Formats: sequence, structure tokens, C-alpha cells
Amino acid sequence: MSQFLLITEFIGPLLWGPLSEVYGRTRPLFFGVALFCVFQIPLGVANSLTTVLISRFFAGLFGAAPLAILGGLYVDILSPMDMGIAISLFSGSVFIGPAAGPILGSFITQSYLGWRWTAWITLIFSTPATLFCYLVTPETFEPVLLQWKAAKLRHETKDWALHAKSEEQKVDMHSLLTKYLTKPMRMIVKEPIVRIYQMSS
Amino acid sequence: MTNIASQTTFTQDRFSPESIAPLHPTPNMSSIGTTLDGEKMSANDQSPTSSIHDIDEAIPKSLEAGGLGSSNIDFEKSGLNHASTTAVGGDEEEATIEEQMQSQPPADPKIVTWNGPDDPENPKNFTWFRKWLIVVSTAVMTFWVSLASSIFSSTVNVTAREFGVSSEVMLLGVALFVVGFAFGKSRIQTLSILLL
Repeated sequence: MSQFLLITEFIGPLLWGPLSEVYGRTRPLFFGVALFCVFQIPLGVANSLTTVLISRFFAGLFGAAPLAILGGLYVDILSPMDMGIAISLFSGSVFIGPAAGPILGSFITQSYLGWRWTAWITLIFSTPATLFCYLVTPETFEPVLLQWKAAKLRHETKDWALHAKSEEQKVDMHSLLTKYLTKPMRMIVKEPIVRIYQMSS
Repeated sequence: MTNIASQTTFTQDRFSPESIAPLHPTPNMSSIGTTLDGEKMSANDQSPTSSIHDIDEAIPKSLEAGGLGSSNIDFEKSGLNHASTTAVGGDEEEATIEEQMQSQPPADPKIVTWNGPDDPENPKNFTWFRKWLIVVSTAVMTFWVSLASSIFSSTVNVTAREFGVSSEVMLLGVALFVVGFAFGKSRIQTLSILLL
């Protein structure tokens, strides 16, 4: 199981990384978190082991979106000085969550609510949090924003040559694979800080 | 003929020891002579006085020019100097790239960018309150997502009894969630800082 986990972590950047590079930050982020919330429902009503395991797996898969994307989102909006505070806040929530989970979970399970309410409680609290985030968080990824701006300007000015710098690059499956699949590997080999981060995590 | 060859090698020795004499066709004796003179001239600097001095020596201008030209040609053709010319080319390329980097954005009016450094649409220019509202709300959202990863571990014994399996099997509920996390979670936090 741990080997399987290592393998999946190895190919992990494939999923959310390229998505956020092409579609910006907010769309993959809220797509992922929304589906995370949705997959709490089959867990809450599960009647078989298979349902529980599958819904848990997909909840984890889609729940990983904020972990992968929020770091980039903070880079988009914050100065390097503020980044430190934001990242510590973010990592705090990432690490306090799993620590608080069993405490809250056993509290719910041993109360009259029962184990199914661990899923419902998660759904009840994460859905408003997600909705609030959705309302306050605009797209922040600069290339995507400039593409939108260019598209708007094209229709306003009827000057169809206007474009964002990032639109000059053709995005297809090939470039996605060559650029984003090999980049993590290249960086692990070339950048010492990435290697150290990898060893620590 | 041997005399010519020795003269040629001599002239080119002054420029480069390993220059290729046979590649350079020498039209006639006089041109070789002027090549020598031409080189002398180029060594003496191309000030008007030197040309006057050359005229005083009664060397025809046209021949001198031809000699100079031919000497330049074999200067370029010689293998040793090829490296130096490419090096110069490299410098030129670097210079043009730097120029492009400096002058490209304003040079192309069709590229859409922010309206100056204070464009309110630029995410970097959000107000302080808005930035931290985003940070705190997304952190809270992340808290609930990461809490879900381990909240199931407390239910393992109960659910194992309910579904009639061992609690080890039920731990898959936690493990699979983390596997799903691993699929999506990545070192993209680190990467995105460096990529963008």
C-alpha cells in the first residue's frame, strides 16, 4: 500500500498541476472541492464496504485540489513578505486538520449521532466554507486573466489581433505532457531545494 | 612558385599560424605583394597619412584595395579565426536577446498587459483586506478538507462491525483517501512558486 502511495505521489503533479496551469486557479480548485463535498454524501448513506471505500478514495482525490493549487494562488496575490505568513497559516490548517480529525471523529462516533455523521459534519462545514471561498476568491492566475482581458478587448475594439502573451503558446496534449510532466522531474534533478523538500516530505 | 607559397604562408602567419593557405587562391604575383602592403597598411592604422604614404610609394589604389580584400577573405576563411567569429556572433545574439527582453513588450501593441503597475485588476493590487480574506477563507476550507482525511479513522471499529469485516480492511477508508490525496496533492506548492 505504501508503495502504491509512493507511485501515485510520483505521478501526482499530472492531475491538478497542469489543470491549474491551463484553466487558472479557481476553476480546478472549486471543481475539486465541490466534488469533495459531493463525495461525502455516498459516504454518509453507504450500505456497503465498496461504497465507503470508493467514496473515500474520490473524496481524497478531489480534496487534494486545494493542497495543490492554493500555494500558487497565494503567490499570485501576495508579496514574498506576506507569503510566509500565508503559507504558515495554510500549512497550519493542513496539519491541524488531520490531528483534529480523530478527536472530532471519535466524539461524533461515540455520541448518539453515529459514524455516518462524520461525513455529514464534514459536508455541513466544508460546503459553506467552500461557498464562501467561491464568493470571495476571483481568478488570480495572471496568464488566464490576461487572456480574458484580451478576449474582452477583442470584442470591444474589433481588433482581432489583440492577444495575451500566454496565448502565443499552443496548449495541446503534447505540450502539456512534455512541459508539465517532465518539469517536476527536471526540477527534482536540478534544484537542490526541491530535493530537500522532497526528502523532508 | 615555391617563392610565392612561402610568401603566402608568411602573410597568413601574421594573422593566424594555422590558416589554410591552399584554400586561398592567389590570382597573381602582384596581388600577393599588395597583400603584404595592405596588411602593413591595416597594421599601420587606416589614417589618411598612411594612404598618402602608400600613394607616395606608387602602389596602384585598385590593386591595393584588391589586396586588402583578398587578405580579408582569407582572414575569414582561415579555420582558427572561425572560432573567434562565432564568438562574436554569440555576443551579438545575446545582445539581441537582451534588446528583445527590454523592448519587446512595448514594441508589440497587440499584446494585452496590465494598465501600468497600479492596475486594480491585477491580483497583486488587491486591497489588503481582500487578500487576507482570500487567504483565511481558503485556509479554513483546506482545514475541513484535510480534517476529512483522518476523521474516518475514528469510525473504523464501528464500521467494521457494521459491514462485518476486520478493522484492517476498514482502515482502507483512510488509506484510500490518502492515496487520492497523493494523486492530486503534489509538490506543486513548491513548483508553482518557481514556475510562475
